[in-house]
Amino acid sequence: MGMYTYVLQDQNGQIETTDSISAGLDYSAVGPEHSHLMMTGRTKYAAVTDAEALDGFKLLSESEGIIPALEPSHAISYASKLVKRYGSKDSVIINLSGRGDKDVETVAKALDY
Amino acid sequence: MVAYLTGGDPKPKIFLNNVVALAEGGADIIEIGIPFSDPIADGPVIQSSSQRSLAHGTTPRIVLEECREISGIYPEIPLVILTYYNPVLAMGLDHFMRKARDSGVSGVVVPDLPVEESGDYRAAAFKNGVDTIFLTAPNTSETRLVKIIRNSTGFLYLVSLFGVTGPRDSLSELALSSAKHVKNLSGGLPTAAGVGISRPEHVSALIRSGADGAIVGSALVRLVNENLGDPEETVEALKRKTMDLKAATRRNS
Repeated sequence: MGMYTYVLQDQNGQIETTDSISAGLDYSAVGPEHSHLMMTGRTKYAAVTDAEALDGFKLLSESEGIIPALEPSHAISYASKLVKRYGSKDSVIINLSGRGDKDVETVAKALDY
Repeated sequence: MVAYLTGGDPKPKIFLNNVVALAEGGADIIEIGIPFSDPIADGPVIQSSSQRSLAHGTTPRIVLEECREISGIYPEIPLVILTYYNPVLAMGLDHFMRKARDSGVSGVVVPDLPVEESGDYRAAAFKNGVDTIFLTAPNTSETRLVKIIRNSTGFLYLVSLFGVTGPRDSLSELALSSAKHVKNLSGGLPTAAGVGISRPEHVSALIRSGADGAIVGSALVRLVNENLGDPEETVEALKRKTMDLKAATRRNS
């Protein structure tokens, strides 16, 4: 029961509600492994908006024909900015944690199709 | 007879009158809940009181302030705080326990804190002379039960069913057998059974089975929920209900 992890909360410890286009990310806390990875400095975390995630979704779908889930669409969007720091011989790896056929209706609605 | 109400509900002023009704009705221990946004152990009745109280701006500090007022009026009635762990962590363990002690609180129940994770919490409580009331369920293993008993002070909270808080029409056999079983292991530690206990006959059956007390929450909070437009009727109903429940603890003595 319960876990000790980073959570969206107010100063009294009441849990704040969230809103995300990605159902898998629409949660007030992260898994405790992420807290550990951040605290030990092994992982850096960045924020991506719903609109940027949709850009990532379109980018991979249009360029590779691979429909990513909305969760890794956040990573794709962030990576597309990050690669500008690297040379053409460098490789950047994205973990595509899920497929996007589950999300096409959400995306169609968000993009007004 | 342990009587529960959610702190600050429905409004601070009315809340204090409701607590007075519990005391006047004969409650032996008064348990005050700190309303929490994610009350995972609570059913719809206490959930609605928590949300109502939070909507009025109730904070843990306000509830502790209310406890200070209550213990000022009824210094002879032990006060217990029921809270989820996150508000305690947010305030800081030592700070919370110190404030609790200074507000006349005798003990704290934290339903989402497993005893295995409670070292710092127990240390802070012990330092400030606040009892740590842990919970057991009917399926708690004997090994864990012994550990929970060893780390509990004040009394032991027997969860009498599988599920969340909320009034039930009947009391399960499980509740009675578990009260008997735990009593045999608890040594000198008093036990009080809660969750789903709403009627005088539940209370008397539990006491007959060896529980030292019964905790009634939702059945009282429901009276608040049902009489929101009529604070005076709430007070009357709470007092009557508490008297009935208290009388049931005496029936077998």
